[in-house]
Amino acid sequence: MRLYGALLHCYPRDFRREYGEDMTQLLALQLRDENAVRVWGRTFVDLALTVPSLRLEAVMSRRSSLPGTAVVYGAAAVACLVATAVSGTVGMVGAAGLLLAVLFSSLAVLAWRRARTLGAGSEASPHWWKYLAVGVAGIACCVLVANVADHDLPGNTWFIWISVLLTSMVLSAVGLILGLSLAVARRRPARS
Amino acid sequence: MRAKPLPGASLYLVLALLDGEQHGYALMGRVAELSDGAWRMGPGTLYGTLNRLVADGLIEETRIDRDESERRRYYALTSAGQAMAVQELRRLQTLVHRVARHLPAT
Repeated sequence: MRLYGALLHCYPRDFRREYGEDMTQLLALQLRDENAVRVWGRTFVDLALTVPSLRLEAVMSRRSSLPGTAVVYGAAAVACLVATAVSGTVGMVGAAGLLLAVLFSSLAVLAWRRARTLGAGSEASPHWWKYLAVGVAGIACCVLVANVADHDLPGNTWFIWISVLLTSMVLSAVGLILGLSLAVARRRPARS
Repeated sequence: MRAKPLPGASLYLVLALLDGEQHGYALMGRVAELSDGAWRMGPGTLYGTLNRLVADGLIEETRIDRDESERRRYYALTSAGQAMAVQELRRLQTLVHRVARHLPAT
């Protein structure tokens, strides 16, 4: 419980003052009634999802910022990928960078899923082609720039180049996944 | 004007409070029950969502019970929360009604 008390300091001060005691007590009750490993696992995910959300709300005075949390974690995942690629590290450090990218992507997906409304379709799905179009255009631009510069980009321009390329690849993947899930969702009623 | 549908955690908490005033831990159990165990809220999700619902005027804090070992903060729906819960139930009912023909016959 001392560990959780320390982790509560990640939350905004006002929120912690108002609910800190209740949260600690709730966790103690959960630990009393459920499997401790499962409760701690769920609590760490809960912390990872709610701390950025409540911090964003405190800073921006906005509510329901779980989509904002998804964006923050998505950006962190891209940053990890870029940092790993740019530093050119291999072995343990490279693997750690990729693992962090996977962890942040998973948290981004979780935050996005939790922000959705029950019984309503995904609002992003009909816009899959926009993500795909921007992503493909970005990749095409990167290929074009690389060819024009004859694969010898000046100064630190390659850092921008690789950032744009990775972001475009992520956008293309998101577009494809959304498009495919929309296609599957549309086919389902016709089958039954 | 029709309000925007509530996100999952808020909806489950509002529906759980239709049974009457409850404290945090009881609410968490009721939400797990309503969602067939799919929504097991952690402390941050529970109190973060309750905080938003209070700020939105959909629920209110009714009382705090204290004894030596525990403190229990109770919440209840406001009239706006009741109306929202009914509106959300209607929305879900309409959705089920529209797609129920796809359910396999039992």
